[in-house]
Amino acid sequence: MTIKIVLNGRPRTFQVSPNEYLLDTLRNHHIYSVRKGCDTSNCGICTILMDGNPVLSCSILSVRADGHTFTTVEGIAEEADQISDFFGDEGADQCGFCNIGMALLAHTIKRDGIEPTDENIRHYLAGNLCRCSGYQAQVKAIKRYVEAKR
Amino acid sequence: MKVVNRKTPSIDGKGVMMGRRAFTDDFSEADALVVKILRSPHAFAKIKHLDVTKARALEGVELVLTHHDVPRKSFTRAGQGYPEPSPHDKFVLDEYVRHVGDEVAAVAAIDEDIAEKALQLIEVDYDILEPVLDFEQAYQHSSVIHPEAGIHEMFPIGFDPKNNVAATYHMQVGDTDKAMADCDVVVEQSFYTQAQAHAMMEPHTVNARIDVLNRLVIISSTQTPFHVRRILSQTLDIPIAKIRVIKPRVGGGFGGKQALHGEMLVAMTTLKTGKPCKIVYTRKEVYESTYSRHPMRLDMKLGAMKDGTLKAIDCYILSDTGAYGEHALTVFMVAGSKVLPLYNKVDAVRFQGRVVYTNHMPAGAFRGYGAIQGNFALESAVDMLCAKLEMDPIAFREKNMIKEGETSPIFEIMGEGTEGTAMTMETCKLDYCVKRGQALIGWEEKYPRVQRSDNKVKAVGMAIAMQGSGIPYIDMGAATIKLNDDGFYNLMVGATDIGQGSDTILAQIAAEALMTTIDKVVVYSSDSDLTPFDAGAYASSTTYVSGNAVLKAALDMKAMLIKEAALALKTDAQEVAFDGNTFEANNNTITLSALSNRLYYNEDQKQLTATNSYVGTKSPPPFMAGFIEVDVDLETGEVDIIEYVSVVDCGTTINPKLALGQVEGAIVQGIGMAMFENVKYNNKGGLISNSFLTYKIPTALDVKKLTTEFADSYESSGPFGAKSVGEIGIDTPPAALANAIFNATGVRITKLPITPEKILSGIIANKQKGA
Repeated sequence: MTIKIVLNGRPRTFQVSPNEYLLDTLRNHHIYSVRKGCDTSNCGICTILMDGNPVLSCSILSVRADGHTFTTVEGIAEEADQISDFFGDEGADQCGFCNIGMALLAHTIKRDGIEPTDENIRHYLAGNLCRCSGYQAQVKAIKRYVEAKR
Repeated sequence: MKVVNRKTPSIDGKGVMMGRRAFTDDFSEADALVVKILRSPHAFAKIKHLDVTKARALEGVELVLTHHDVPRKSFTRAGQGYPEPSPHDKFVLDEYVRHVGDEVAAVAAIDEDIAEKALQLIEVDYDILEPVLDFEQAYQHSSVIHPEAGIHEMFPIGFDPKNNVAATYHMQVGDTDKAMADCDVVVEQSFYTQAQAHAMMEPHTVNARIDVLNRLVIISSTQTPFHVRRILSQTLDIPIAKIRVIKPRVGGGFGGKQALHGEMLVAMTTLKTGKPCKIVYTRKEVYESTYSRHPMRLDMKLGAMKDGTLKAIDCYILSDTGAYGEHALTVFMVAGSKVLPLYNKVDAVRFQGRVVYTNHMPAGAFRGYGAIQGNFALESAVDMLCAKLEMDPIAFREKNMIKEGETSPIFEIMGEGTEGTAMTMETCKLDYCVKRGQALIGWEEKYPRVQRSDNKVKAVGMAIAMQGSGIPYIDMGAATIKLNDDGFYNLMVGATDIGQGSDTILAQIAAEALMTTIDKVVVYSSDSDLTPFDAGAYASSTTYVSGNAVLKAALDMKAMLIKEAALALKTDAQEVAFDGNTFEANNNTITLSALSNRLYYNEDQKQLTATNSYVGTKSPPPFMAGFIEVDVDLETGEVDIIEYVSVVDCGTTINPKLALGQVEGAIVQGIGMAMFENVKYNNKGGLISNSFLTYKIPTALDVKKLTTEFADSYESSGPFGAKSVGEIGIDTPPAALANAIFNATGVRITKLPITPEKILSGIIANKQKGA
C-alpha cells in the first residue's frame, strides 16, 4: 500500500504493508532517531509529533498515517541542538535512549506556552520512561530551556 | 584542576539528541536476516521431539537451529573475568528447558513476519517435568534442574547440581556463637528481597556480519565486549582472532548487559548462513529471557551490649539464581563483603549460605550486585536493634560504623568468588555524610515522626552503605593515547560506556593530565580490534580502574611529548616546560600543534602512541548515607516520598553532574525496588510481570525531590582522587524506607517491596495486638 505523508516539512511517499506501524516505516527509511523500547505502547521512546502533537509512533498503523504531517527530532534540529545544551548542562543525558522523546516534549511545552513548573513538566514526562536519570535533571533542563526561551 | 571536578556536558549527548545513528540497531544491515527465538512455555521440561520440517520449508526462512545443530559445550553467559566464578551450566541450545522463556530453537528469516510465522511452524513435544518454584524448597528437591553431563565449576565454588546448588560459601571471624551469647541484646530476623528487572530502555540488541577478511563482526549492546569475544570463541570453537566485537552506544545496562544474550545465536546464524543477521529482543524477552536481580532470604542476627556497642553479626543467606548460575557466587558474596565491613568493630562475624537453582528466569548482575540485598537486611536489623536498645539510630551508627584509617578483616577474607585483598580506608567520610544528611533532611525536627492529622504521619528513616571500586588483582583496564597533527589526541579505551558517561570522564582525565581541553581528546571505546582491553562496565570499575589506566597513558604521552620537544628545541628534556599548548626551554618555544605537525611531516617523523594499563591492588569503597522523608496515610498504607537526601563519598567527582546523575538514577531505581518493582510468576512458573504494564518502573511522577551532595574526599590511589560511583546510590533506599515506615507506623516490613497493602496489614495487626 502507498501512503503520502509530510515528514519534517517534506512530502514523502512510502510503500507499507497493512500490519506495519509508523515506527518501523520510519526506521526502514533511515530515520534512526525513532527507536523502539517496548511492544505495548508504554515507554514513550518512539515519541514523534503528528500534526504537531506528541504521539507514539509504535501505535500508529502506517496506513492511518496517510495524509498527516509528522515531525521527528531531525525536523527540529536547530532546537534539539539548543535543548541538548540544557540537558548537557544539567547532566540529564545519560544513555540518551529516551532523550529524543523528551526533546520533542520540551519543544511542545515551549511552543504551547505551558508554564514550566516542575508539576507541569513532570505531568508531560509521565508517559516517557527513563531508567538512568531519576528524572530530576531532565525536569530541571526542560524548565531552564523553556524559561530561557520565553 | 581545570577539567577534572568540573561539569562538562557528556561528549556524545548532543549527537544522540540530534538523532545521529548511535545504538546497535542503527547499524544493522538493511538486508540482515531477522533472528527470532522459540522460547519455552514451560518452567521445566525435556524436549522429547522437535520437528522443524515445516519451518525450514517456509519461503524466506534461511535457517532453523535446534540443539541438534549447535556445538555442545557448556559455558556461562556471565561476563566476569576468566576463569569465571560462575558455573558453566548453560548450552547454546539444550534438550532441557529450565524456565519459561528459555531457548528452544532459533530461526533466521528475511523479515520479521516470516521469522514469527516459522516459529509457529516448529512442532515441539515436551515431557513436562515438575518445576522448582519455591527457592526455599529447592535444596535436595526431587526435581534436579541440572541433571545433564558436561557442566562444571571453573574452580571450587561449592557447585553441587545434584542438590540444586550452584554455589556454597562460609566464612567466620572470631567465635560468633560465643560473642552472641555474651550480648545484652540480640535481634534476629529473616528478610526477603525480591527479584528486580533492569528495565533498561534499549532492549538487548545484536547484529553480525562476516567481513571481507572472513571474520565474524558482532555489534552488540553489551557491557563486556571483550568477555563476549572470549566466550563466543571458547563456546563455538572458533579462533578468537576471527572475531571482532564492537560496542556502539548502549541504552542503559545496570548489569543486565553484563552477559551474552543474543550474541551466541546471532553468531551461529551468521556463521552458518554467511549473511548479516540481527536480533532485537522484544520487551517481553528482556523481562523473561535475560536475567533479574537475585531474590534472597537473609537471616540476620545482631548482638550488642546495653551501651550500644555492636558485638556480633551472624548472617545466613539463601539466594535464588533461577535456571542458571550466572553471577551466583559473586552476587552472594558481595551481599556480605560490601555490607558487613560497615560495622567493622565487632568481635565476631559469620557469613554463610547457599545459592540454589530454581525454574525461575536466571538471576544475574544488577547494580548493587548483592549489596542492596545485604544492606536492606543489615540496616533494617540495625534499626530494630536500636529500637530494642532505645537508642537513636544515628548515634548507634556513629558509634559502630567504619571510619577513616580503619579496616575490616572481611576485606582480606572475601573477594569476588575467591579470597579478597586487605585494605585500610584511606578515605571514609561516612561520619560527615551522616551528619550532613541528618541536617539536610531535618532529622532533629522530624525523627521519628510528626503527626500531621488523624490519618497522616510524616516520618524519616536512614541507612548507610558502601560499595567498591573495581575488582583488585582481577579486572584490568587499558588505554591508548595517540597524538595527531595540529596537536589533538585520540583516546582509545576498552572501557564500556553504557550511558553512564565513562567516555566523557575518561576524556576529562586525559585532558587534565595533558593540560588541554576536552575537545582535543577524541574518544573511541570498546572495539575489540581497535581499542586496548578492558574487563568492561561492571563492579564500579570504570572511574577507578580504567581512569587510572587513562591517567597513566596520558602521563606517558606527556613524557614522550617533552622528549620530542627537547629534540626540536635542541635541549634536554628536563629543561622543557610544557603548559599543554606550548613547550618552552631557554626562551625558545614550539607549540604542540607545530611539534605534532613536525612529527608527522617534517623532522624526526614518527607516530607517538602511549599505552598503559591498570589493575587495582585494592578497591576503595565509596560510602554514602541515605535519608528518606515520607508521608504515610494510616488509613490506606499509601506512601508519598517527600524527599530523598544522599550524601556520598566517592572521592573526587571527575564530573560532578555525571556523578550526580549516577546517584540520582540509582536512588530512584532503588526506590522502585523498595516500593513496587516486583518480578512475579504464576503458579506454573510463567512470568506475569513481562511488560511495562505489568512491571512498573518509576515515572517522573513518583519521586519529586532528590537532594544529593558529595563529601570533600580525596582517594590518593584513584585518578585525581576519585573512587567509583556507579552503584553506591542504589543500596540505601530499601532499608531507609523500611526504617521510615517503622518510625511512622511501628510496622516493621521485612519483605520487599514495601507496598501499601503490607503497611496497612501491619497497622491493623498492631492495632489488634494493642486492643
